[in-house]
Amino acid sequence: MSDGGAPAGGQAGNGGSGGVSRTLHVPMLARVEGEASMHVVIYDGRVSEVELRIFEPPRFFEALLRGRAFTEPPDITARICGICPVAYQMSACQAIEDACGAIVPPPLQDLRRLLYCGEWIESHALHIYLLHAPDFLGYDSAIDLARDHRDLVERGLRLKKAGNAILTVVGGRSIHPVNVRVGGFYRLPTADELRGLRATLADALADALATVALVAGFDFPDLTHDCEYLSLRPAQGYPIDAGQVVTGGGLAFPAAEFDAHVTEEHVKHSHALHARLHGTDPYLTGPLARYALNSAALSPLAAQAARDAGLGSVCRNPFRSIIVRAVEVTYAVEEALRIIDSWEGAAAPSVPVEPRAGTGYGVTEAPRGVLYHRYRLAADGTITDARIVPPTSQNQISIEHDLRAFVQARLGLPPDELTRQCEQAIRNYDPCISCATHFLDLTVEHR
Amino acid sequence: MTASDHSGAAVLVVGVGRRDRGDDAVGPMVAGRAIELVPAGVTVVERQEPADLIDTWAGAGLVVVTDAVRSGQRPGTVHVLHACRGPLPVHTGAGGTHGLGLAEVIELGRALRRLPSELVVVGVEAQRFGLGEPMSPQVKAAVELAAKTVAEVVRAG
Repeated sequence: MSDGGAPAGGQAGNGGSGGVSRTLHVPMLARVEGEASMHVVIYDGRVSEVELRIFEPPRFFEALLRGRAFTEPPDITARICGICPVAYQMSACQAIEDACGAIVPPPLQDLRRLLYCGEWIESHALHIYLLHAPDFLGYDSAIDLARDHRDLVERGLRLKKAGNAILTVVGGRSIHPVNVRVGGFYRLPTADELRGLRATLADALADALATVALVAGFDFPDLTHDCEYLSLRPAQGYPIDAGQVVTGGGLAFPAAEFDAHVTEEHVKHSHALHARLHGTDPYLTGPLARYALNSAALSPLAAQAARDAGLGSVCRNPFRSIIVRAVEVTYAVEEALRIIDSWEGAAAPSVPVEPRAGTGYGVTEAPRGVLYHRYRLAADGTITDARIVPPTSQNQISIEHDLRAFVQARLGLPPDELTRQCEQAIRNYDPCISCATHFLDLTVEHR
Repeated sequence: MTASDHSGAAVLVVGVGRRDRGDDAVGPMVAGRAIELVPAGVTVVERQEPADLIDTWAGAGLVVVTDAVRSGQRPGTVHVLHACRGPLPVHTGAGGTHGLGLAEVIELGRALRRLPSELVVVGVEAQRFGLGEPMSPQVKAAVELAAKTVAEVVRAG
């Protein structure tokens, strides 16, 4: 919910010590989930500070989870984000099952991966077509884009609907799937229900490939970052629902060692905690990191699409992340088809999970990056402690670092144009900032 | 209330919002109460993601969307907006906590020529959306009036 906000480009004078300052308020970022603001301080012609102020909910949910039963995190944490509830459910299930020593058999793991593919397709299609493509094509919004290019937006909605169809069949409903439980699912989809998705997904594959070709033709601003990448890497395939954590610097560790490698710190300007590797090094998670660390694991078709789009094995321009998302949609559709075609049923919708005292860890790849959960359980399964590290708080320092370089190179732009370009740049990271409103108030302060 | 896909329902009521977010819960609350007031055969669903509405209302004749709105009026004020007659006022809508707000989705549907034949928004003026916050008393008190308004719109349609 939101109101109309302040007029774009409104200015207020005065401010910082030692010189004249200017403050610019702009209502946005309507196309980033949640509420955020960006504050830039320019001192003596140089960008001295960039602060992305994010208000995110996991701390509230960590407190809410304490004292609840071990069976509840999948349902409770799914409410954190309307865009990626499956990611929260999957990391939660993995962590609780780890704590309880439960092993989910391969057919149910496949079904979970299929469900996750649905979320990737839905989330990436939303981001590519309704949130980010308008930036590249010179439109203020998807509405304006739809007026001139109805076919493009319809393609995006078709892809999104294909992802939703998977969520409905496997997850029980398209938003906040209710069919997921610790140990598996409440109900298995029938073979006919899964086969019924095939035609939709075959069409989606063509749409996905067309999407890669579309976004590969966009004009991309120059921006290259050198940050550390962090993603999962599974034994087989591209990382979605499982894998060990790896970094570009050569680290490789299981979810259980996440706390030993990743530390979070409070900063004054944001409610979100900022994550660092070993307390010092910022890093980036998400499509660019997944691709850089796992491009060799893509399917042949997705890999070919990436090559045709001009992607090398590593992409370090954040603006080109939209191409990586399109490649990942292609992969997710293919992967969904593979799982459906090879599905031979499961012995039971779930395996029994008995509580025991202990700590469990789960880490999966949400569409926008690595999502880590940790739970401590009492012997009766009561949750005594919960930790949730979402992708956006892991990325925040790197986003600010990128934005600093981006703004520095564009200081001569008029305020409105600088704001527009900053918004486009922030959308490169698909930040999920679930909150009650969705405006970015950008403040540029000249000192 | 059911939350499955009800594309094609002749008359559809959709409550939009998130129950964890203070007054944002009013859409689902109104829809939940409206179930008891609307004639049998009317489908009532809950949605948290406005971007899904275009598919949700596909094929429907009359659609009533109920959501929290913020326009600067007194909290609890009930707004009735006929979306097929023209764009929503700028200060109303952009509902929920998601990538696209309600007003944006309605305008997107208009641009794509995918609005239902009749689309009415019953909005409740809200004031707070904090995570874990309770609904404000004025907004909570308006649920009954808003639900009756939804039922009247359905009967009139």
